[in-house]
Amino acid sequence: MSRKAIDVSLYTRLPLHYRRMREELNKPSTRVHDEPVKTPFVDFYMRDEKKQIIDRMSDVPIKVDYPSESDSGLWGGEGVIRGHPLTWFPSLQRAVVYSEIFDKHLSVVVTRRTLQLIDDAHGFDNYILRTPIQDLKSQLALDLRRKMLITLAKKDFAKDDPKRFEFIWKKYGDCAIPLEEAEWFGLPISKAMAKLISMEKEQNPPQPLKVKFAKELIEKLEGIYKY
Amino acid sequence: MLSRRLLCPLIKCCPPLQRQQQRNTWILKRVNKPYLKKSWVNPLVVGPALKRINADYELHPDKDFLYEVVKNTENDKMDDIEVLLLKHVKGLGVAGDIVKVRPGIFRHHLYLKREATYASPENLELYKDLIENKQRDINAPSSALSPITVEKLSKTYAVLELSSTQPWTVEPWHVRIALRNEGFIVPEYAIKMPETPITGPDVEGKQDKDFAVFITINKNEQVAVRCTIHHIGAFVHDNWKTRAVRVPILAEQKELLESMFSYPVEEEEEE
Repeated sequence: MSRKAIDVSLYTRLPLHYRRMREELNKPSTRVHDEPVKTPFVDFYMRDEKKQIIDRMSDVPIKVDYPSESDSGLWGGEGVIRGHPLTWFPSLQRAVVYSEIFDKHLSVVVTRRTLQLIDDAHGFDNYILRTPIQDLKSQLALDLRRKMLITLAKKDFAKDDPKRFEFIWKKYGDCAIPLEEAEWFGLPISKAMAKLISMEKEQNPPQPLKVKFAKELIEKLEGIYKY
Repeated sequence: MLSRRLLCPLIKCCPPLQRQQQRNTWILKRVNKPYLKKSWVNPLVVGPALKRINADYELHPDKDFLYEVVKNTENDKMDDIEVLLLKHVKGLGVAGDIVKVRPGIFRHHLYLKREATYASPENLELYKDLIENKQRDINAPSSALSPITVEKLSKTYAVLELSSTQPWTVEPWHVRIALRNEGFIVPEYAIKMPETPITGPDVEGKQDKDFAVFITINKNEQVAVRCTIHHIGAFVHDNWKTRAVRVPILAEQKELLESMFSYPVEEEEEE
């Protein structure tokens, strides 16, 4: 697998809140497919009871793969486990969920666990907004969260109905962040870089060399010819 | 020694000591223990207490990828969830009720139609008015089953089987027993009879003819119920409900009975 090397100078120019978000995204997520190993003593287990020998117990989480399909659905942390010689897949289903902020019904690919997590969070919006981002494990979820944060920052929901507006603001208003941060939230690195480059171009647009040379030439000529 | 049979109920009633929320399809376990360095080489303790992710060495491609299935939670039964009804749902409750339903029914039907929401503490506070004003609303259905009862009552024919020899006047208890035969238990104070009394026996004038009574449900909803008089011993066709257009006994109730439900008339085939 070849991975493109990240341009370090570009990465450091990215906004701080975006880089913090990336760091949080790479944190270890909750274990879905295995349980922590239980030991009688902290990190130690009895290897030989007759001789009373204890040994250290390793606790290495099972490796879970998230294929590209997981980015277009909400799998709730489930993934593909490639064991030897068996492979385990999550069972997927298509379900309709309702978002209060968008006031829309969405048809998404989910697992049973996702539906349970949505119920535990008391709603789809709560699940997307309040779950730790390392547990979402899906680009779709991050994109939805960004859109929600932007609508919350702009207060761009339920414009006709003031009662409903107040209701939603009461429920999800504490999740709102400034618009500048919200626009960067959850972008993949390639898109963030492209955004940064386009922003920098807008701020100081590149000047063609012919303009510069023409200016210099005119300055030179001004000394020779006088109008 | 404690036998297994004795221990089983004990184990069942005790809650598990270490409960964790694992609700995925597959839960697996390593067969082999990943290899660790000696503690004098690497003093860092590797285990659940410190939660280090990587082992000291790279995992073996065969040995360390052997997994055992602990359990598969695919077919576990999910618990019912508490929901707050926002509208009246037939057979379940009225707006403002907190009921327990199967999660699938809530997720795929009630929540998507916005007939109910989660009964979370935040929602209970947001919908405080709805819960408090539940009792005061007169136009709303009085209970979960009252609209179903209204629907059923309005489609029933209560048959009063009365004597063809002894004189009688129709009283509430006649209607009560006629409705009991149909499967409704109605108290007498809930039955409102027509103002003009109906007397008999009158086989020629009143046999197989209708009048209407009003029944109040939960002292709230009022339904008109069609009652029919049959004399004991008099001949009745098998298809008396669909045989001909129904005839009212009282002239004042003609419009009311025509507006009520009745089976359409079926024409008999001529031989």
